Amino acid sequence: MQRRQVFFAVTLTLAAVVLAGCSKKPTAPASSAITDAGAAKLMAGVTPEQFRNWIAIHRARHAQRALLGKPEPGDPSPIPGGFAPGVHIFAPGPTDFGLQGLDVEPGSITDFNGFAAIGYFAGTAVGSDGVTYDMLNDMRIQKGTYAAADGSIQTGTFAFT
Amino acid sequence: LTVQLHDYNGGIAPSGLFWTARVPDNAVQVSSHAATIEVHDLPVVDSFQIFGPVEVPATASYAIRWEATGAVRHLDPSSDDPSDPTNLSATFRDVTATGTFSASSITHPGGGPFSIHGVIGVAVWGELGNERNGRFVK
Repeated sequence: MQRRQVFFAVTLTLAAVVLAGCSKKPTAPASSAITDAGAAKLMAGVTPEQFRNWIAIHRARHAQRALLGKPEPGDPSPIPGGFAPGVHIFAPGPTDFGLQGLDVEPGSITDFNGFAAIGYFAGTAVGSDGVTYDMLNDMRIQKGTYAAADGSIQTGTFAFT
Repeated sequence: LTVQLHDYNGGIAPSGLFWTARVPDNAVQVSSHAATIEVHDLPVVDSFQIFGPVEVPATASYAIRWEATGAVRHLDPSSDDPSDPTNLSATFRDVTATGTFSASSITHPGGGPFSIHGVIGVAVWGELGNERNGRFVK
């Protein structure tokens, strides 16, 4: 069976790390970017029932807030920095891997006091099409106390996917 | 040649919060030397390629365990600039970590719904510990 390769939930930095380790060349995403017309074509295969089911799932707070553009009271704030404009996240890890160093912020939430963990993973996954894919994951968690965007002190648990 | 076909991520909130979603407190268990997370059907998006222009609804389920293996590293802020990556106080240890990851998208370029299940393997690198940043850094 043809083996294709795919990246899941991966940072650009992690991609650089793994690609370097495997001597693979990164591709230029823009060359195959999906246009608006492509999006319409993409959605053409979705039945109204499927779409309704998925929208129901996405009535979870996170998606709803993204659609409405309104933060909720108690929402955390992003770290002010990041490795690119609008990308409020860093890439801690060994500089030998092309990462930013072991003294670098792993979290995505600022004004935070608590537990944090990060892991960059490389594995494989089988798709519903029966194909085996390469999979890279950048997974992080934060659990603790934070000062929310509205100034209140909150506790919470967050996952970076 | 490597081609990225899916990119499951937590999206970017209006506040700028990046790829991050609140999960139930009991989804994450922390002990002195280990941590686990287990989430089911977490709402995410599939942007097909990192920072791709199109996002479709997706869900992700995963279970990961981090276990500390390395020596304790104490970090003190190297900068007073809150946007500096070293503006934190922390105690971290390197880890071994393993887990599984599944995701489903409403559609994909091949047409129709798509799902995937995988073993995310052993972490290339990771760490766990306690940190203080922002207003809590000092």
